[in-house]
Amino acid sequence: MGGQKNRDGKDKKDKDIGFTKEEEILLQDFSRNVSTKSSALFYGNAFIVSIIPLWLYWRIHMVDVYSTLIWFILGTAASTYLVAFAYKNTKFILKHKIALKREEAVTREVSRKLADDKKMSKKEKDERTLWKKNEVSDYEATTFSIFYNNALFLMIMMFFSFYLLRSFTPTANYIFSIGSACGLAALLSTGTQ
Amino acid sequence: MWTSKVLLVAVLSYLTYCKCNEEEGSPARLLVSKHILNKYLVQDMDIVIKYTLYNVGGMAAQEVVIMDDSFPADSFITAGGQLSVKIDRIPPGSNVSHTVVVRPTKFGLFNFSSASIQYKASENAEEMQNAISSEPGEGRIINFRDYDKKFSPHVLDWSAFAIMTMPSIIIPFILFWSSKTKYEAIAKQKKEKNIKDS
Amino acid sequence: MWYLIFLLNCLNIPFLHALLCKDPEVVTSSYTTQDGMVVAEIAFISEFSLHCSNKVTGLTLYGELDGHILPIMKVDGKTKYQISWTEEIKKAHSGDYIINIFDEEGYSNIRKAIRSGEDTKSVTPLITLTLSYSGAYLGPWVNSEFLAAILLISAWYVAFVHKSKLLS
Repeated sequence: MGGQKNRDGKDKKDKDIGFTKEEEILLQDFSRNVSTKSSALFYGNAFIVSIIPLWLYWRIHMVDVYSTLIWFILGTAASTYLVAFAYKNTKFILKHKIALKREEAVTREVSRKLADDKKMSKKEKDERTLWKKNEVSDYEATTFSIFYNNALFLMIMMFFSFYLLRSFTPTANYIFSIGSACGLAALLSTGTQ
Repeated sequence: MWTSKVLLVAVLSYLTYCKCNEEEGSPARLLVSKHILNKYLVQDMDIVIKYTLYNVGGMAAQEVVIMDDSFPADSFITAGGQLSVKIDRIPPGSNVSHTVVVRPTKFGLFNFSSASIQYKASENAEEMQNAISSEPGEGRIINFRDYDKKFSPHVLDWSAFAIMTMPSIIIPFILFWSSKTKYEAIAKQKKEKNIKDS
Repeated sequence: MWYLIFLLNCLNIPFLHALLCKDPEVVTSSYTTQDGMVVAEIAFISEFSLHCSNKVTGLTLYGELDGHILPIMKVDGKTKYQISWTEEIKKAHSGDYIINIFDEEGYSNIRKAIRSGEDTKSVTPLITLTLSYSGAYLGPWVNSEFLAAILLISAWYVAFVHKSKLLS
């Protein structure tokens, strides 16, 4: 790893500054933590997806909204949290695989863009490539994770609500369908390698 | 000539009259069944009632009147047919059917009771014979809301659901797909270039 | 009984003609059950009022449909009548049902025709009623829940395939 060699030489200098930009990128790569922007995106999408089943319950199962309001609120909150959790996990798993696949293409694109710029050092070009690769794989992993988990959540919810738990009371139906859907989505996201 | 014709008629009528009297003079007897031909009883939806009158007697029943007032006007409306009808003659050994369609305006338990029938057991009978039909019994009329919830296809609701789910599934997919194809195209170009070079 | 009337007809006794309706005019209103899910059989009901130019009322009428005799009920005893029958949902075909109405004389003729297997069209009816039935509602073509389930499963399947491709 190129970063390692340089690090030894710069150690004294960097002690006070902290990590280099490269290291930061690497850290970001390996950590499960997401940026605030990403987090907001995840929670926003999870919330939207959790709200959608409420329409079905109101119109087709004809629940009495006022009496089950507390369950709806709790269910939506739990579902938002768990679905966002599923998004994060899936994204993390996919990011590396995507990064591997996109490496060549991204390198080529960046080098094509910066080919004319002679002033930039190779190191900076590599940094840029790494950063771009990170960004692309982050973007693709995020969008795919949202897509996959939304489809999974809605499918499980639909299946439980209208086929498996058909004879339950609407309130029980809601609790178990939403619970199973977001629970399974969260569980499956941690399971796959 | 005219008188001989009248004589002929008179003789024949007399013979007919005697013949009629000599027949099995068992008076007409009507058995009436009242059936509800429904799978479900739902508020504001059709209930088909069929009355079948069987004449098991030896003579024709005359001036048959069917009267069904077991459906109070505040709970039922007649959609088709009349609940009170008259039939001039039911020949012996035959049956006649009458159909009425009503709609209940209220839901709940309802006791379907008999209709009453009056008829003359023979042509010369002076008094009207009374009879009652069979009783369909108690039935539960379901609330329209419950029936609709169970059986209606809710097409509009499902279409709205489809429109709501589209963005959350299609948009992420399109974003992913556009990025993916872009980079795969670049990678493919490079591969082709490598193959060309080598 | 019947041959007496037949004989009287032959003798051409004038008063009998008063029992025949001249220039019949009919006003009909019909009803058929439209929903095939709650009922077990479809009911066909036709109520009509008959007006004759010679002001004859209270006639006994008989109906004929596809070679079967249907009795006609009197509603008010003078001009209003009702003819009705029920049919199983599966057997009830949509379209027009033509009912021929006969008075006493026509009735005896049509009965004879049916018994001897003759063509029933040879007897001219007093009036002809047409009842149109457009079919009953038997439920939606595709169950919408099922359709929604299929679409969601296919969406998830596409996602799953791509995911496997990415993770391979």
